[in-house]
Amino acid sequence: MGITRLGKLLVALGLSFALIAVIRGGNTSSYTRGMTLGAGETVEFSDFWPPTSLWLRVNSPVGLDMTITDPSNSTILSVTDASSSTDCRIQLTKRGTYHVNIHNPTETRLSVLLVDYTLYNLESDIVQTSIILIVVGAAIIATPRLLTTFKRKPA
Amino acid sequence: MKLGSRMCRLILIEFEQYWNFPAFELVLFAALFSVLNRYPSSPGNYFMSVGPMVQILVISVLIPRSFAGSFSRREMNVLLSYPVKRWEILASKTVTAFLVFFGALVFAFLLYVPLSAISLFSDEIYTVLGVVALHTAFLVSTAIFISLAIKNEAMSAFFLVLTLLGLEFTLTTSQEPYRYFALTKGGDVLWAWTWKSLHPSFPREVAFGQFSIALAYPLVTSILLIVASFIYFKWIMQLD
Repeated sequence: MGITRLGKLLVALGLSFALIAVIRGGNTSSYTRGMTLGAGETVEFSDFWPPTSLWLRVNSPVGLDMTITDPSNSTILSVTDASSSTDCRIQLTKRGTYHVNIHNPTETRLSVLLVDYTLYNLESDIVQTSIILIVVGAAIIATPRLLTTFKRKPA
Repeated sequence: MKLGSRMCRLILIEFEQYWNFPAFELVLFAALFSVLNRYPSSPGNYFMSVGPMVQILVISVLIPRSFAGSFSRREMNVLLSYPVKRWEILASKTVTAFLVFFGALVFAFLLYVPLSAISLFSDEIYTVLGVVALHTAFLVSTAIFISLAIKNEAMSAFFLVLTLLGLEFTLTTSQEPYRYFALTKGGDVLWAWTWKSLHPSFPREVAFGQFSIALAYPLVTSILLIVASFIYFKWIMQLD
């Protein structure tokens, strides 16, 4: 197998990943979680998210405390008094399971609380992989050609 | 030379046909695109996406290149001048075609492991791969039979694309039970029935009759077409 053939294969693989990233990034994924929270109650749920942008909207009649932790348990969002006017956009940096904690600090029971999630934009790890594959592939293709071009002829 | 080593040699020669630029890249791209084209998804969603259509297109274009194209480029005459039997050539070409297309899909499905955090040992991927293997065998055997019958690369590809895609669109939109003959609907039913029998808590109900149709059609057609191709190529087909 020629080394140039391997380079071409890597470039093609990188371009395929780039196109897939664009197609997946173009399809926004939205879902809504509904829940009932008693006075002083806390709920936690987990979601697997890719490294993309997250648009979060809360539909609650009263203020709530909300935190989101990433797969390494670092808090990436902490909101107090989140109500219907709360509208956050976060850039997720890792692919993995994120934990969302919602706490009702009030003395009243919330019958229906809705949280809307919209995942949009390119998945950064697929984009990085495609760039690495294209650069490595292009370097593999170009190196033998450059070596031949700059090789000095013997006197 | 023994039969096993002769077959390995023939498979390697045939694999080089697919390895040439840009055939291999096209196969890989089609597999990646058909499996990973949307987020979020589980491997089972492959059957309800454009995946099977992309596979029909790429197999319809590349198989005639290997089979019908070998007659026009006179590669078949060269191969037959060696001490190998006709059935060995056809068997090696069939096995290689299946391995290349199915191998590319396996690679694409294994990317679910890092992308969707599905375990490598999860039966979800392997259930889908079983159905995909059956569909690949169906498409490969149909494309081989048509390529051998028409013997012209461009005409075979044109005929295959029109027939297989036309059948797929017609069957998908038709009434029960005909819709389960389509690769998309049939694949979905096959996967769902198998998944339900492994995990009874799966909320979807699939009738055994639907499963039988979805399984029998590609399986019986593949066997019949492969046998017909072997009979035609070994005893009937005339080469210049």
